[in-house]
Amino acid sequence: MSAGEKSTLVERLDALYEYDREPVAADKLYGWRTFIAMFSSEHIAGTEFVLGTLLVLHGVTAFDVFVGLAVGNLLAVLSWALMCAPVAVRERLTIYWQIRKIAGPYLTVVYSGLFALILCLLAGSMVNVSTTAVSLTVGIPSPNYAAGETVPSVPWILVAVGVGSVIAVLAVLGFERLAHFAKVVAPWMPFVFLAGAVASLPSLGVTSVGKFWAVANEKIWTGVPQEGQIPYGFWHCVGLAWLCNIAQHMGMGDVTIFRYARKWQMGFSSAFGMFIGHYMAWICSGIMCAAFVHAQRAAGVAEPNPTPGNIAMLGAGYAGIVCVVLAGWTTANPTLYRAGLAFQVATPNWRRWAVTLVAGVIMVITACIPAVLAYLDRIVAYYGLFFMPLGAFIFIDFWVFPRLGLARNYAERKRLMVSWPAAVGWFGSFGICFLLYAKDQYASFTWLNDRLPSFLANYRADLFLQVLPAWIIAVTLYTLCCLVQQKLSPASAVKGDLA
Amino acid sequence: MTQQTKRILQTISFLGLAVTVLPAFLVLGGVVSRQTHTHLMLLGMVMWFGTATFWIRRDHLGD
Repeated sequence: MSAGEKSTLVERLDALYEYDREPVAADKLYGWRTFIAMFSSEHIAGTEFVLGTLLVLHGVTAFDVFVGLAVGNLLAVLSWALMCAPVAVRERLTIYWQIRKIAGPYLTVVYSGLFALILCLLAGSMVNVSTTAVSLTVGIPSPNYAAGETVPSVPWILVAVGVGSVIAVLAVLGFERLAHFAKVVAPWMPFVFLAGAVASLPSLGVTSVGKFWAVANEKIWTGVPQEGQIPYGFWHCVGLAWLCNIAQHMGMGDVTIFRYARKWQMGFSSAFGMFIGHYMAWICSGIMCAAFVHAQRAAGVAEPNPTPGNIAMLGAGYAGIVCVVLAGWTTANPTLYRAGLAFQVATPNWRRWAVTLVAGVIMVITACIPAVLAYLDRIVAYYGLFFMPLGAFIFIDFWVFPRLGLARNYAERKRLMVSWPAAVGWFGSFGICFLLYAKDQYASFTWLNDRLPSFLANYRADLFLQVLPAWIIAVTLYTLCCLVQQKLSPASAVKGDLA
Repeated sequence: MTQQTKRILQTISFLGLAVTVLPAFLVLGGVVSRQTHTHLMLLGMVMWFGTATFWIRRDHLGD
């Protein structure tokens, strides 16, 4: 398909992002403090109450959590610092324009649309988190998914609709004031996590620091999954910490942020987000979860329901409840705003407020599905694996293609509407990784084991351990297809492009 | 806002964070009860939000 054809969809998309089409000017660059503050605030959200809890319920050990999360978060920081930031400071363009240059506008539209959908889903999970706290204060129990409550009660749905509506209306009215409020909330939240966890320790039997490790192994991260949960181990902790933001680092989503960085080393500022939000906060929510389950069992409750609201109330009282509400709210709002922006592409004559409201409706519906929180770790893993390949192509296109003698930004140079190598690499890598996982997980895919070569049939893939295979498959498919593409139709030589 | 006002507000904010987190360690040491801890956390929250809103600047990076 070539570009002589007019495409209103593509024109609309370009117009939407027109304001950041040019690389960031040198006088608009920011220093360390800005990035440290941004990462510290952005990566401590309502969902941290869920993910730390899920690790406890899936039966990891204390070693798995403390060492596995440290390794996974370190890999995430290195991915930001060594893969994302260096490309960002050299190109100084948004992810939108970088994908457009190598994949063509149609795949960029697909990327934007699907990204908007997943953002609605994530915003819904954040509303769900806030709703567990609000409903607790008005005496409405949250659905216990583990106990088979797959549909919330009507009063709980009404609370979720109320919370979601407030968030949607605020997103429609404007983002700036809330962005400022989120910045005020951010430094306070880690202290609530820490205080809630430390104050919960005596109820588990920890009365001094020396007793912590023994109690951690016996009562918190016991290595025994709760009934009905798949067992997780060390590599699941590594994989979850590395994967949960892969769309931002290896997937290059944060080139949009780091294009404002003075130097690539500022990618290391992500360590503040990872080790406060995805290390300390996950560990703290795990401790609060264990304390809640322990207290409920002691009170004779057969199936405790460790929702974010419940565990925060036990650990930190009403300050914890406020923290859960705000953690969900302040992160759901910008997420919904970005989803609205991405959806606007496909709705030409709609006003921004209407698009954001539609995204808000999807968000509220998602918030009313308890399974979303119960499987949040799997959802973020799918989300990461699906969006990562396009970032991998940007990385390979930037660093490897000139060394292979291949033209960079081929789709842009040839004015292609779709880069077929990018399509093959993107969907191929996700499809292969999904099928390798699904053949052992879903009954409808088990037939694959009879048809695959034995080394693949015997390979037991896990969703969290697919980062490297997915990246390698994606760049291999993309590079091989680009070799064929550029051999069949060489890019016209333009000075500087092949250097 | 003058520098002095800003410094006073910041001092109250940081005291609020201290009041939020330190009582938890006192619970661990058996010095204060859990109820006192949760009340102090509420106080810390009020101190933080009542002051930090005025001195934390907004920026537009990445919007």
